[in-house]
Amino acid sequence: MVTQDTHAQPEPQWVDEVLLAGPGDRACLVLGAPVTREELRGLVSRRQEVLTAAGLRRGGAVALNLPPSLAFVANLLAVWRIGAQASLLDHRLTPYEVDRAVQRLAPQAVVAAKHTGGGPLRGFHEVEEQVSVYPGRPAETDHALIQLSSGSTGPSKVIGRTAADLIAEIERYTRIDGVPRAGERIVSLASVVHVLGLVGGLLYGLHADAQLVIPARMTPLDILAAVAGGPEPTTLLGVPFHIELLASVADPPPLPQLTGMTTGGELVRAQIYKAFVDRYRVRLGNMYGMTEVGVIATDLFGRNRPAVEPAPGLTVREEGGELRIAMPRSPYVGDTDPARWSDGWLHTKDAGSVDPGTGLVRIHGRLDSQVSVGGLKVDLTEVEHTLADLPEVAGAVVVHDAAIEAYVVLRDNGVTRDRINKDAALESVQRRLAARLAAYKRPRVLHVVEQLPRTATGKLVRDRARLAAPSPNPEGKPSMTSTDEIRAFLLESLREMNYDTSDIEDDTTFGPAGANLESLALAELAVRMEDRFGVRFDDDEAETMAAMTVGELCAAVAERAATASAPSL
Amino acid sequence: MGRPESEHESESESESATDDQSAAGAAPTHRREEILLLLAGFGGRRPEQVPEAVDSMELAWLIHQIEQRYDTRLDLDDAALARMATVSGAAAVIDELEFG
Repeated sequence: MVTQDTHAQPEPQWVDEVLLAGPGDRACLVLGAPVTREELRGLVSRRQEVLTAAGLRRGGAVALNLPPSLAFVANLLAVWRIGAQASLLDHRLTPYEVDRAVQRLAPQAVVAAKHTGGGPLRGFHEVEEQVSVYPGRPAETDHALIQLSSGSTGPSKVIGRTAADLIAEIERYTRIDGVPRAGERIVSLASVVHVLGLVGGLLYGLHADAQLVIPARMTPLDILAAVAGGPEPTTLLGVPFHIELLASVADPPPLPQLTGMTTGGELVRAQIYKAFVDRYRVRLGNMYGMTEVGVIATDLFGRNRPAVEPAPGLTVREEGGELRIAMPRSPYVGDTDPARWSDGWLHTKDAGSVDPGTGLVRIHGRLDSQVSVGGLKVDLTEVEHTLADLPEVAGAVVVHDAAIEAYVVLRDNGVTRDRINKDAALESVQRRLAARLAAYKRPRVLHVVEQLPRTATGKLVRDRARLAAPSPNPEGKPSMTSTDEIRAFLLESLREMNYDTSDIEDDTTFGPAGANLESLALAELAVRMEDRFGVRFDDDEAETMAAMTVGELCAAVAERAATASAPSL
Repeated sequence: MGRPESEHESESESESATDDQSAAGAAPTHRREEILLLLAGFGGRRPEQVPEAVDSMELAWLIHQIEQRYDTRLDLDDAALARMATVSGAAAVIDELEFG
């Protein structure tokens, strides 16, 4: 473990110099009503007075538990202008999660919503905030911003960024071709309480004098209305879900001001990408980043898809199949896990490669249990541990494909044997989960199973296809294998082999024109399919599979698996 | 690819659904089937793969699909949207609008 020992404090004037400078009479924010920079300065000053009156001083520490709102912006800038440290707590966290976070962070005050006007799909909220003083302690590091990753215990969970880090990221944005410039607009669908919306939208927009607009509701009509709300060149900023949402609009209105859309996160399927570009006739770009660093690499014009180009000033390299980012100092507050940062390099836990000739980066997937739900990061380990700790649960495995799903064995204490009591136990599980985990972290589906499959060495199996497989029938014969099950297993296998499966469809071939699997990878895939489904491939299996599509292979495996003597394909 | 840095923002507090969750609700079966069909379009699923719980992304998707299908603008208040956190709830809210 490496222990952080820096105790310097941020210089507060950066807020005025980097964020609040600029013409006072132009609207810099539009959250329903436009807010000029002069009005924002006034709001920040007033919040500064309130926070100071509550006892906050330079070097102090505050937690903000506010939804996206003008109140959030004003309080955040006020905390920084005082020279204090702001910890951001997602407003969707449960009181249980907030309590644990506050215990860990020990801020001197928490700013939360006293009343909030808002509901589902709101892009921003009308908030009346209140400041609660806590018996916490001043900031122990020089970080201006503290964010928690999913799961609040263990090392490398608390991420800190200094004012200099934030300014450096803003500077990176200014040097990336394709980002909005002064006088333009950013319609942000990405929350301002997380790094893309916070730095790429709010802070960069304030710095560059690009107006930040947040739609009233996150529906296509409201989003497109926000784009149409001004004549200035406009960029949409969001996550992949928003591409799919907007691509589904059959007949969007003419939007001559829309210059492009940029999303952070995984690539969308090729057909969604094409549908969006065909519909709006604008560039669709992608960004790769992390809370620890901010923006890392971009492909804002879709020229290098699926690869991305490192942002100016950042060094990315591959080590043992993992992407690493040059970072002189650990971004983690408190103990740093050497598996997350060591010797000046951040270990991203993203599988990837760097082209030695062009420097372009490809990301193949996660190397740990972190997944993305609508752009929010969720550590499946946290969900699994929370579930397994419940009194009604004897064991649980949590997996993610299109959504988080849990396979649960209920505790056989004599009350879960009949159907009524099983349902009651499940209701109790859901109620307890709702109290402990924010909605976006909770499993969408709870599958109750009699037992969880394990490997020969007793480890729990996390393969969705095996978890979903029905129990053997009374005769002991395996049940019919569906092509869906085979497809799920195939895609999961490819991801485990560090292949990006986001563009793989049923008509994708395995050869160079499709998924482009090398012969060794094809051989490994064949072995996995043989082991899993009891089929057999002939000696020239690689060549046979390379010419097949995913759909053809799944159908062939299903057919062979259904027969007792599995002949060669 | 990689990891996103942001999130879809919304307040939908949808609950988890169980495999055998009842389809009971005030709305007729055809409305529920319609909702399942529309939700299945998100992510290219089959209707039987759609969980009972409707998350915030699905809700945004669903609202738009209904608006497009019926060529209307749904002016639902926050309370009505909050009721749409399950397939049955969504079917009931849409059915109350008495179109289609």
